[in-house]
Amino acid sequence: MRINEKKVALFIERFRGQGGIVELVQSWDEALDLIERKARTVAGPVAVATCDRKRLDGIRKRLDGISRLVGPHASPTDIAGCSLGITFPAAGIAETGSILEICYDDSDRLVSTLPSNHIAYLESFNILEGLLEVAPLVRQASRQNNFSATIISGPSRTADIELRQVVGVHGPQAVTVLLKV
Amino acid sequence: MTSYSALEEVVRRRLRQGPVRGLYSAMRRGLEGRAKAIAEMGDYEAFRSEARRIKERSVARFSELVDTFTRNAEKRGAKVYFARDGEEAVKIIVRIARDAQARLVAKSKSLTSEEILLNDGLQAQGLNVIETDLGERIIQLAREKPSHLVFPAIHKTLEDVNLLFSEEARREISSDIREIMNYIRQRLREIFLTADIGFNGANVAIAEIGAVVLETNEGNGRMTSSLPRVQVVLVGIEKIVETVEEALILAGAHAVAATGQRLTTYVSIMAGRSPMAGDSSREMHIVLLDNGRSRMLSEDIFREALYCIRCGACMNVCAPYSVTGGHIFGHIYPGPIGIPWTANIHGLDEASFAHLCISCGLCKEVCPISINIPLMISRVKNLLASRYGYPKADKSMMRYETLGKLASQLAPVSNWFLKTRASRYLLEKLVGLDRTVPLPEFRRDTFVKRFNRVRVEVPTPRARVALFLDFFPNYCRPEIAESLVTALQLAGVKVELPPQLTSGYPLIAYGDWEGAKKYAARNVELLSSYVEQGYSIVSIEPTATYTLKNIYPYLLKDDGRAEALAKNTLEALQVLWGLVSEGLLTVRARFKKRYGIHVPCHQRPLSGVENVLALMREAGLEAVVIEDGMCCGMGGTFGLKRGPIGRELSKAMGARLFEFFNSGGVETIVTESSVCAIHLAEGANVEVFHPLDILCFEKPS
Repeated sequence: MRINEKKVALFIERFRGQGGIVELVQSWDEALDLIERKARTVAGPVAVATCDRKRLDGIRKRLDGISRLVGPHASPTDIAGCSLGITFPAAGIAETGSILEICYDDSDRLVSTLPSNHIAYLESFNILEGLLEVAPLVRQASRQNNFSATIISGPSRTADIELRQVVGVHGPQAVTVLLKV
Repeated sequence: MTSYSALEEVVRRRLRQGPVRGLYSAMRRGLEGRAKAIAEMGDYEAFRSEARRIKERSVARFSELVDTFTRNAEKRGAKVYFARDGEEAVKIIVRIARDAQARLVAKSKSLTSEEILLNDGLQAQGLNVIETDLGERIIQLAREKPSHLVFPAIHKTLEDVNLLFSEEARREISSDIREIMNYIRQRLREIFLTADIGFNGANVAIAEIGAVVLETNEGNGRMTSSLPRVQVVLVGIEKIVETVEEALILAGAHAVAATGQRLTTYVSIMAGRSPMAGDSSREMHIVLLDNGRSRMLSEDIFREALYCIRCGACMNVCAPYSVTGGHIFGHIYPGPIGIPWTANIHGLDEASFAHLCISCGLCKEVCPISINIPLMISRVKNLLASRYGYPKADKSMMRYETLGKLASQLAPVSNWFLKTRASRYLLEKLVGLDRTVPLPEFRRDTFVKRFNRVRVEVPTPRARVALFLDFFPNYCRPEIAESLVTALQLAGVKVELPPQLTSGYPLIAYGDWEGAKKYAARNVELLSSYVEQGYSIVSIEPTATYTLKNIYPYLLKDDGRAEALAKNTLEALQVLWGLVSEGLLTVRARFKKRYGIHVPCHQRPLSGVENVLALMREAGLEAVVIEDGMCCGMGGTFGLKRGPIGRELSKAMGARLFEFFNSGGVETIVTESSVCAIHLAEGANVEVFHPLDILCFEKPS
């Protein structure tokens, strides 16, 4: 698969450089294949963040009989019991190799916080070049309601013990971006 | 026991134990990560200037931004409180907890909460406060204080940590780090899910949307700020900026300078309290803390401390901190920036660790906001001296010029005297000069006396130079100045030696501002007429050059001549390399060896290693730059002083660098600083030369 756009290539390089995983897909169906495969591997309930009807139905159908689907807007305890969380970031940021999640309900935020595995579905035209391009999106969100915007750059990590780098101390141990190109 | 002697005692104890375990690795890691991130950034200096402008602008509009932030956060349903001091902030948070009938508080790392001793206040009310950042949790279980800003438990080994968590779990946890992580993940997950209050600080707050920004790597902050029904945020008022863009730039500056990341793993911008699964009854309380910040704003010298973004970069370059650690080199706020913060927030007495600062100035160079930390530290020393007087050795070191003049006038008798054990013993007792430290030979035939012999008439000069000598090139190493003058004249440069004092830097280093201002004023007076006539001031010693260029304009803010002097001051090697590049001089080596270059701290903000390397390469010499990222430990006259706040600490600071030189197979060290030369020659046991000792300049044939 050819990645023509420089910023997309930079996003992939930098997100991977921070311990994140990027899988390229050409369609939502292909993304569903990967979600299904991951759900089978992690073997546990799957939490999903707020998304449009089409996406939600797609996930529900694919995971039927494989994993219990939790959410959107599930309780924290239910989300904490999930092995995989699926979110739909508002953007990717090439400069920092990050994804941007804007949530109007904290249960959506927990989907990328509590499960050990986080999958984010992102379309490449949503990748921004620089960090400062996030500002208009944040400002726009601020006009709608209370919200949280989180810029995520890879899995949760710590080096607090003898400087040994360990991932997943509190948040996800693996963050995968399914990037539709 | 005075606080100074108490400090001496803890440093002595630390030195007996050796440097804090793991600390240097953490510092090194921070520095290397920062360097790598900066290399990728392109124009880091422009970024740094922008970050500084943001802080300057925000701090200057303090009260306006507090109002805007409060208004916008309250529009979102957050309750905003203004606490004048720490006690009031604790009371407010206790009241919030009481109203919420809270028992358990899940807390994410917040230095501001440590500033006000929040945990003690909450625990006194029967609340169970659990730190959820891994490093902070380790420290909490060990009942200790953080020793590093970014890695608070860096001094703990895996074994120590394992023991602490096994005790907490009341079962043996495997010493495998992943097992420990699994335990922590499970244990703290229960806390996050059951806590009544989630507490967090804020790295930045954004006035235009009434939001707080939280940066973490572990993700605990995401949980403390989302899971509990009640969220409490404590924000120092200096953290408020106006726009989202400004907050994003500071988030980048913080991550780059702290750990070399482009951003921390999670940057959360939270505007109001979002519902949880549709439940909108959740609360957000934001406590804005003053606690001395408004006072700092009104004090010219300490205002800059408010620009600090708590990245800890200044700690990572601080040589005395690398040996003593944050428990000694800190109160609650550790490291160099911790000195002005402590003096202003917790009181001058708690800031006596300022005496450990060796005034190398590297903290300013590494700071992403270019905060003038060294001058603030000097001011703290000045205030300490006003209260307690100067420590004996500091007082003696500040009389260096008189002592040097005397030693020079009495040479060679003074040199003999300074070699006898009895006299050194006496000097140690009387003036605090360490009896074992090697001293330079003083020359009766100073450069000032020699100058007329060296000087030649240059009929049609291509440039005019006024020499600034400083202490060593005049009293101890006149041949260096002689080589410089000879080379300049060969290239058709007219050289004058104006009457002058030395730079006076030791007075700044020990906090005598009035004395330092006198030195600055006198030198500006003596040199300005040369500047006005079009002379360049050429300085040999890096510290002297640094003082003329960076310190005098600050000390003499109202005297435009100080700024003009700074602008027209050049480094000796910079001028020589310029002349070689123009083809007006050639350079050759006097002797070839395996050279290792030591870059003095005050040289780094000047031209760094650029000119010496260029000249050595032009002369066909190979050289490697050897450094450990910090000061060699001499710290000007610091290493001459007796005791643990002097020579003993100085040697410990230099030990790593000495080892680097020795293991690097270096035969000869080259450095432009005469005091570093003394320290390196002794510590590394290798001969040390000034570049002008090994380079020979000639007129092109």
